Amino acid sequence: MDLSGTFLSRGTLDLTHDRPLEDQTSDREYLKVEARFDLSERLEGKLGLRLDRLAFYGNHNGREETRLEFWESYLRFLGKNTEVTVGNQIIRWGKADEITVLDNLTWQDLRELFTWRLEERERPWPWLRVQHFFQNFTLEGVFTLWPMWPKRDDFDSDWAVFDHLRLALKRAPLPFPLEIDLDKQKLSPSLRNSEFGLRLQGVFREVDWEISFLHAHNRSFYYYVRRFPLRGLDIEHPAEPIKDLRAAFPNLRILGNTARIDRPQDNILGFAFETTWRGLGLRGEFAYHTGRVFMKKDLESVQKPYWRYVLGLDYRFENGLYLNLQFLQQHILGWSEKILFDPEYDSYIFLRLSKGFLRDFLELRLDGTYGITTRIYYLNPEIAYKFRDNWELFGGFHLIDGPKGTFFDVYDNNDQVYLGLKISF
Amino acid sequence: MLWDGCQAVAEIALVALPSTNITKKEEALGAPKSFKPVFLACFVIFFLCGVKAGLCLTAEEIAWKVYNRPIGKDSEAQTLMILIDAKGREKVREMKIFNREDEKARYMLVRFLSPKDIAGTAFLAISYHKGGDEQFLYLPALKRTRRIAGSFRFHRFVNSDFFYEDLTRRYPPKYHHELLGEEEIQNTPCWVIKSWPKNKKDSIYGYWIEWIIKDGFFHARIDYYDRKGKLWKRLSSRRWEKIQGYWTILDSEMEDLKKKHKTVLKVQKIIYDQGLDPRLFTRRSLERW
Repeated sequence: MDLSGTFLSRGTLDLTHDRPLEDQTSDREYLKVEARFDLSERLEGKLGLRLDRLAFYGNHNGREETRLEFWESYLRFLGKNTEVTVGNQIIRWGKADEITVLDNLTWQDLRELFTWRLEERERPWPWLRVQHFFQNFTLEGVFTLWPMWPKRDDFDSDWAVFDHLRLALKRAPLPFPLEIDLDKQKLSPSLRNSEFGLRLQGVFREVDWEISFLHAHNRSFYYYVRRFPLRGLDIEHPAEPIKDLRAAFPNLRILGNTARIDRPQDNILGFAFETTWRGLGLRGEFAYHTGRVFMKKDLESVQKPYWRYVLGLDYRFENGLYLNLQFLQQHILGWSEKILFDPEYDSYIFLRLSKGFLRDFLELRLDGTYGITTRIYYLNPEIAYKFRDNWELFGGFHLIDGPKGTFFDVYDNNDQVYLGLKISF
Repeated sequence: MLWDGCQAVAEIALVALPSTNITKKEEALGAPKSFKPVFLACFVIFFLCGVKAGLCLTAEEIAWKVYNRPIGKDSEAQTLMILIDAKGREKVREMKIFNREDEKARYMLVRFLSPKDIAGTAFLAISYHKGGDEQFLYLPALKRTRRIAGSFRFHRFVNSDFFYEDLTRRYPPKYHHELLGEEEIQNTPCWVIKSWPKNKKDSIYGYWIEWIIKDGFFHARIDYYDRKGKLWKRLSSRRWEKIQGYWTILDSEMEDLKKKHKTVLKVQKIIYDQGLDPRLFTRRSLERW
């Protein structure tokens, strides 16, 4: 048996205290312990537990959430050409790096949105996974009874879906009191709510390829709001919803105080490849969704067919500089102007640069995302120093900005500096 | 000395050749009168070459011999990598190295066992006999195997003084080779060969000088020079043994002469020809961690 674990702690500090309701600091800690074991030549397994704590502190109140959850915990049967894995596991589909459109088999913890890297956001999920390895290709099937969606906070955090709206409504000088609550659809594990997928992988002349199909629940970070209790609202300034609410007051119809959130299903057809050419690593993914969720300006949601692709390359220069560049383009079929954040066509560039010093024990990193259509950006410069084996100190900035009405504009006030420590044992 | 022997053989041949003039008439008759001297010269050349048992090898031939040096059908080695900084402080990496060879290629799988922050990381290199290679890296944190581009060869191997390039086979036709002579290292006769890439992108080094042990075709020492011709790194084999009939370097050291730090590679245990499953050298196996 092999035991291992990780302890990670990260504290953040808001760079500007420019809003009456905002988190000024946050801290996140987790302790993860894993055991790998071989029960026989043909049976192996893993048992993992994770204790996770996230706390936000602001002007108005503090909020803390601590959870103990199973991490990767599964049994794997190893046949000559077949593997069957049952249990909580992280399964990655797709070939692209940080920006991926096919990696939909793990749920993502988006309580601090994208301020953690993909590998830190992903969480295991209970799957039955069957892989059969043929001579030249691999066929894989996955199945789960438990419906899955990303986890976000509803209210009371700078990264929550509705920000601090509930408290803002209480404090806002409105002609009459307004409250808002969420009624989220609860889906029990069942065949009807199950998720399943198939993937075929192979290699053709040093090009790795895969095609996949996944029937799943909505993986978008937008909630599917079936009914919002305020009618006549038209959000033009997502970062300042109270301003829009005041403007809409003359025509506002209030149908209650509860927004209904559903968990619709989606089908994702995918294709991915990975190869190398003249020292470059080349990767790409394409995904077609039969019904992806988008938010409308009246704060209700809509499902639309949608496709997107990502193309990426990486290169390591002789001086040790590492470059990873990705281009993403997406298109909403049947787009209408009522859709809040997303234009019909949207394109992004993602850049990752890193360079090692002191035998790579010290590393400077820069992650950057730029929205070509929407002119938004997100920058994450970071410095990490392994001052001894298994001990890494890291720190950096999250800088976010976007023009009015864009998704990133909502998080414009969330620029922060952070410092963390990661210990492996 | 042996180099001189080869030159002597060549000189004998040159002396013999003028006496092998064949007139057109004789050629037409098909039975030259001077057949005997020619035959004798050839015989002497081949005999001497034979006696010297391959000592007339060219630099390219030696490079091929190194490239195709027998390493067994397969092997499994428990290895320690010790990083030593300029102040003498040590950091240890523990790994398992698996090798296998078939008619198509040589396969190498490196799996890190410690320290914990890199444990599980695995590197698979496939080096085809006809040139060309493929490399894959599995990082447990990413849960994904990535195909590695050629430019990755310039990357430092887990904080050590080895680059990925230093761990992979060098396909001889991609490089120029020049035989500089012969020397003894640790009382062991060696060929001294200088090599440099035909195409800059194939190596981070300007050139390197290799001391190849004649009995075994493996290196006793390699001096790496940067593109400006300045000595950069030195790889020294400190201990080697014949194990199960295969020459094995058990202790070697790569020293960065510019930055004064070094990496020691120690093979603690190695087993050859135990019939390793070919499926060990696949991406399926990389991801089993």
